[in-house]
Amino acid sequence: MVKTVRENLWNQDTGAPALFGSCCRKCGAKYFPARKICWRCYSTDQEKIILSQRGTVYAFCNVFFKKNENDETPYTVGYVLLEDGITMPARICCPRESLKVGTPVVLEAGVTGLFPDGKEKPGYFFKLEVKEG
Amino acid sequence: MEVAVVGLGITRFGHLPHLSLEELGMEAAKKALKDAGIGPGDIQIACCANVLAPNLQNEFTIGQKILWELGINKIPVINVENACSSSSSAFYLACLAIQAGAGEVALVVGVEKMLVPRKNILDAVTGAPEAAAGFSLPAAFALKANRYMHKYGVNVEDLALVAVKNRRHGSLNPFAQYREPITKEDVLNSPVIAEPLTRLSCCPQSDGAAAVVICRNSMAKRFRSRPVYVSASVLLSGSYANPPSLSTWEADFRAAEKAYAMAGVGPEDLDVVELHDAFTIAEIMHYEGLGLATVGEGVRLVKEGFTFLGGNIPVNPSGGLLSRGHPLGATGVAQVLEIALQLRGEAGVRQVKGARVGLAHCMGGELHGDARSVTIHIFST
Ligand SMILES: [Zn+2]
Repeated sequence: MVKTVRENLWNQDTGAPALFGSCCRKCGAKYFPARKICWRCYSTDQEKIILSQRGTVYAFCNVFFKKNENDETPYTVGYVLLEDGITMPARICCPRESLKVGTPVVLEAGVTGLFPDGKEKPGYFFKLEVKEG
Repeated sequence: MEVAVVGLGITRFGHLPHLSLEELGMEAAKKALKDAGIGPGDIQIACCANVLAPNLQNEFTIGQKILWELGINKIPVINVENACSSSSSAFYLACLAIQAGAGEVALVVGVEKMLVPRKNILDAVTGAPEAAAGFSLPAAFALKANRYMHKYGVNVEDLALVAVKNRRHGSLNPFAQYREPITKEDVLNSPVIAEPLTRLSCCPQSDGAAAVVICRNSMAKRFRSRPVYVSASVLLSGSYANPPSLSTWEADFRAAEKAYAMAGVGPEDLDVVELHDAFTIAEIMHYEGLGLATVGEGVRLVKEGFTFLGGNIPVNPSGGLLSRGHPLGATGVAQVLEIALQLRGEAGVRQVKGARVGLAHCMGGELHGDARSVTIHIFST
């Protein structure tokens, strides 16, 4: 099972990928990452929620330069617009030719790369949504 | 505003291994004092901007260090960090101080030394989920470029023209880091950093410093027969909306509206502009944020030659960040200095004829797809 490097990014109890955000109890605004104060209404009454695992590609780019020697390039990063109506930054693992703004994607947890010391970097990413049937 | 710019000083920008951070700052400050015709004892307030010295040189409060060496002491000294807009923020603070009557003459220094062997830079996208996902500054701007191109049907060749223009301008600036003109093919064929941005679509890392002396406008003529006046000074942070726009910086529009109202001018009154072209796409988006073009039409300005020297509204006559270079903490003051030179009519071969009103725009940092800070200063003769 994937170990978390950052708390609140996914659910390590169930082993299933789950993104934790927050929802303002006063005005309903949703946030990722979770916030302590709502920037819309400034309420501190924030509920921890699990965000949708589905979304569409909002923006993306293919990165060709290596930040460290172990980076496998090119890789794709972008913003995914979740069904909750908010975007989140993420690694996107899809064949480049199938990637467009608006492409449906689903959340997955796994290895997203290597640290400079060669250790696997666990994290979340989005992959192409495969329609059932 | 009741503030005038009366002294200008800048070092060469580029890889300057023979000069320390302090020496760079001193050189720019000394030149600015000399240009204003004043001595160290005349400075009553000083603001000094720097971003990376705590990381790269293990130095902090660098302002006092530079000023100490120059013999400027016993005055308020403020060190400022606001990412790429650090020194334009320092300039903003100094203007406020003069305006408030805290003193009559102030020195603003911006200094940075990035090209050091110790480590490579530069991630203003640290700590956030963006960093965990593998974002970097070029990636953050490439995302914007893709989003912009998708929305407005713009192609990479159009974006490349920004680099061609600014390199051509930089070839006319003896203080610029890159002085060789390049072609559109050079830009498109240079290595891809983050699609669609190639190496020549991104500004370099640089060493360099710039400084200006400002004073209460009623006394400006004691220093110079033709002072340059500050008619607007604005600093704002982003709104960090979610979903982010990515194809505009909302903070640009807010800052521009405020600055134009303060100065009593509109974009149509500007003769010359320096803006924050960290990446080619950024210049296009800032055209729109500053009201030089309507939203979605920015590339026309460069495609049709308007923003080249000789065009209706030359942008980045100094070469901009893409060509003059981008020592983070020095950039904002370097932009102010270029506009002041242009309005004095002392910009030499890159002079915009008859320039009377100019604008300097700087943007710092990146947070959830928005700018962390935006500064706009408007100047007039
Ligand atoms: Zn709320």
